Amino acid sequence: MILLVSVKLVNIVKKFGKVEALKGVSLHVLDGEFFSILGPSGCGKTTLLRIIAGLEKPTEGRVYFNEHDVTDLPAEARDVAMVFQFYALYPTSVFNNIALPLFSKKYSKSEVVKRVTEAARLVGLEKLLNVHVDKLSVVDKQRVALARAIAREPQIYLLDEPLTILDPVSRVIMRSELKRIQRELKQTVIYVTHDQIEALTLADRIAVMNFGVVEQIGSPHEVYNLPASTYVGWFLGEPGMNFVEVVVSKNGSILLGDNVIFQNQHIIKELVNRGLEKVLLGFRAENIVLSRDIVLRDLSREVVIDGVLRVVEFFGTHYVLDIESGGSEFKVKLNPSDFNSLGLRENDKVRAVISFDKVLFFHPDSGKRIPVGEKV
Amino acid sequence: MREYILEVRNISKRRGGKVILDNVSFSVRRGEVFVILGPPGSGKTTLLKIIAGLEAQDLGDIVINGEVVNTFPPYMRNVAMVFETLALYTNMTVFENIASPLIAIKKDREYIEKRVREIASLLRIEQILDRRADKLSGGERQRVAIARALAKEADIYLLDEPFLNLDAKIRYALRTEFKKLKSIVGKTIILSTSDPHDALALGDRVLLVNNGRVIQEGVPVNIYKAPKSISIARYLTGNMVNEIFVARDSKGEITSNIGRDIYIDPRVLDTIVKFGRSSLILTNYIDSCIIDRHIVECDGVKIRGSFLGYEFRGSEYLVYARKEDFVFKSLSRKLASDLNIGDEVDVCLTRDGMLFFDGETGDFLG
Amino acid sequence: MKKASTYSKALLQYRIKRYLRFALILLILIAYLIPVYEMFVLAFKSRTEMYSNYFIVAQPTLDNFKEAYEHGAYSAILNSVIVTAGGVSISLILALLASYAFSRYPVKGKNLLMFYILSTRMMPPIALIIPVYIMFFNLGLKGTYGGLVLAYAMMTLPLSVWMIKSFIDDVPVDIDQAALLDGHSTTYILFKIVFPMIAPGIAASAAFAAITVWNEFLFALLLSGIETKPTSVLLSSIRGERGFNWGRVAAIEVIYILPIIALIFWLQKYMLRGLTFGTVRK
Repeated sequence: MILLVSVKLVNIVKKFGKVEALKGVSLHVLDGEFFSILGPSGCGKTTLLRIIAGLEKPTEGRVYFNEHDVTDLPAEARDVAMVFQFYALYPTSVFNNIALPLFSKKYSKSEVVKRVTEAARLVGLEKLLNVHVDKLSVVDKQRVALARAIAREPQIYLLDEPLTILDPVSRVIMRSELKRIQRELKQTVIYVTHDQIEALTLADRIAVMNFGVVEQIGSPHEVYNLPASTYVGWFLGEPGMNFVEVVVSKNGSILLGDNVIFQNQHIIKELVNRGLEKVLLGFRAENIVLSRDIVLRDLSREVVIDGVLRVVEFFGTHYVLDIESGGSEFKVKLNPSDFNSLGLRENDKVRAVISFDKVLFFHPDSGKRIPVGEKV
Repeated sequence: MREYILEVRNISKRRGGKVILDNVSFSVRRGEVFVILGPPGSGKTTLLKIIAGLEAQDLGDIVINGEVVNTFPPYMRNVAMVFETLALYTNMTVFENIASPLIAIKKDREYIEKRVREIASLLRIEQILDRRADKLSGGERQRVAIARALAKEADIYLLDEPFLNLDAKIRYALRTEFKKLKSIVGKTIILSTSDPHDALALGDRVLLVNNGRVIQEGVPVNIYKAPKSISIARYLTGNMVNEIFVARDSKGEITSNIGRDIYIDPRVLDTIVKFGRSSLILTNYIDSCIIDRHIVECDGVKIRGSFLGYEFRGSEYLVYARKEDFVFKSLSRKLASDLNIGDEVDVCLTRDGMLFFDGETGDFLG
Repeated sequence: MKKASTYSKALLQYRIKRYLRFALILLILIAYLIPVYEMFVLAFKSRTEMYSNYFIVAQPTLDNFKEAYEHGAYSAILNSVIVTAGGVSISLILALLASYAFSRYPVKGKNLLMFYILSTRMMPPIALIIPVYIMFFNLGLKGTYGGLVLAYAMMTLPLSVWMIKSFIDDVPVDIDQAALLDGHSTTYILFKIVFPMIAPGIAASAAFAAITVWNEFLFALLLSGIETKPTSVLLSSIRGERGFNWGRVAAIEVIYILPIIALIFWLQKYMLRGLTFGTVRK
């Protein structure tokens, strides 16, 4: 029986000299979960992974595997398997590569063969066991690295951007494989990446990091549609979430510049009750409907912003437009047919309409999301 | 005022027996953003250095503002350049880096102070003026390099891969900043890049190069809609295209590389016949492809394949399906529920959005 | 199933290994430093104490240092400084100019010249003594500071050229080109941009050259005169008196190594970087 392991990090701080790479990170990975740590390069995610692996010691804080404190334990003793971006395979057969790490563990020969064949089957290499690794494609080499980890039957799998070297199609295939293998093995996987698409596609839950701090932990849907802070909203999505600073007026309206853009009494009363005079409106570029007409609209159900088109960027499958209004800017994502039917050019006047259920509110100083209305 | 601020005429260059540039010609209009797009090693950097006068061409002329400048040294050509490696003076502060071109032409202290601060605030780097150039983040260094070029007050700005190695997020932000900057500064900008996104999003006009030769030139939308060859279509999208190879035998029968299990709409068949080639490649971009469990109506080409996987991008899905060795990709807002790897799915390549290429030469037909 | 006990056993094993490693390093360090310590101790011992009390000084005295002065040790140290500083400076200036040319310009026969320069190091210096001595004597340079400085400049030039050239190679040509585009002259580029950038490299080259010259004995012996003799020569002539006064020798040595240790401490950061040849980060 293979033990399912949960990983708990309590207030991990890591300093390199004076630089604080991690500023107090706490998280709890459930046993059997596919957990992703997502963040830009340099945010500390690899350091965090290395601390979980035992390759680094935290300056402060504790690491627990299944409630056992393993903080002082070195990597060899923790029984974790790491798969890196740049694996190093030994110049020998696939079988030997997978088997080598097992020899130091004193398994019987038959046990080794059993583990290797099982691991190879899981990654789809069972027919290539006797092939020399130099003859393999990049994808298959990555499979060998994976199998090597699997054969060890570790308590936890730690993956550090293992797919970045693959071409897009192979990446998709390997991603599906990874997901399938994880489901079969039912093991805990912690996957570090800077590629949000990978995290959104693979993970059960994602920890979004911002230079030493975890800003939100949630399911892909949660972090994308209900970001806990402006950072998370900005980081996820291409383009990131738009944030526009607006004035909350006590007479029940929200203003951008000099214009009223929203008038839902209910929601505005909640904001006023919190003592907010200004607030950040957050909405995604793909949730905006553009039009050129200036017909009256229902400001209690929609945010309506009239502005000027400043920049048009063509991306083949879509357009991204930069609109300016009341001193602020935001982006709109349109598919080519919609863009063409609008017939817009730079410096044209345009109207942006966002349905209020696609609008979120953020605190203007802290950047934290303000739960308003039914959205908590 | 001349319409073309820069004319590149028949530039060729060899280095150690290898052809770097082969008869490259193009013209750049005053005030436009002109993007030179090509894979690494296609000669873009050499081309820019030849325009700047840092390297000499074997053959051909560089004409700036109507004057042939072949014999002019770099600082007399009225160009400023931002290098791919940025080439910041790491032992100097940001201020000194930006001031460098002004110091070289012996401007007085007051003028230098004013101008450097002006430019720094434009690029939002006023707060790091006193920092040493080797203690900056990637994005900051990029901006300092651009600031130094702006300080020079040239008419033409050459930027060599200005967005290389930047995080996707910073790249996006910088690109938009760029487009805005262009209208403020009013200068002519020639940019080289190997990322097709940069070219499509930023360029007023794009020059496609490969192996030192010009492949295609034009406005981004037009190149996208009418790429001269299928390899261009593949390159522009990073291989995110769907292709079906069809052949016509002497009897007029049509076969495809997918096999027999394919439905082709009569109007598409007509178009195939109209072009009269012995073989054709039918190509669709990923937004004119649909993948679903069952597609009843397909006005283009329909295939039955198996589900390979998907990518969730937050606001849309990229769905992959495979038939034999061929992979099809579709961009859509929704994902059919409960699809498992290997499940059978329909793939429809719509007629509206289909591009036709010659099967042998890869040339664009229509 | 993993129990808590297996974790703690592994932890203990790991700790023991770590302490053993530390002890080993300590041992090696002590073995290295004992002779140096001895020397320092000896310098403060009087004649009577010379052969007793290995590690401590019962009656420390400064007599040795006084005697060293009377025997001309301090002027010898000064000579060492003059000759080293002079030789290294000239060598550096020439090396800087030569290296830049080799690195940036298409010099005809560059590889040949570079190899030729390197080959001069392959020859044992002793093979050159006789011709050099005759040449210097005829030129009237024997016994002068200038002669020794010149000899040392030539001796350290090859290594300096090679080291500095590799540092300049590390500076991307783009930087020179950016400066050209800015409108600067080559002189400005050389002195205000490239050389400051390789400053750590220059410091490293200077340090290595200085160490070579400071310790040099053969050419010093041949080419220096009574007034100009450096410490290496002085030390060799100190015997043959009424028994060896080890204390005095030790005192001279102590003063002898102080400047060079100070130099290395000051430049150690650069020497380390210089050894790994990484002065410009991209």
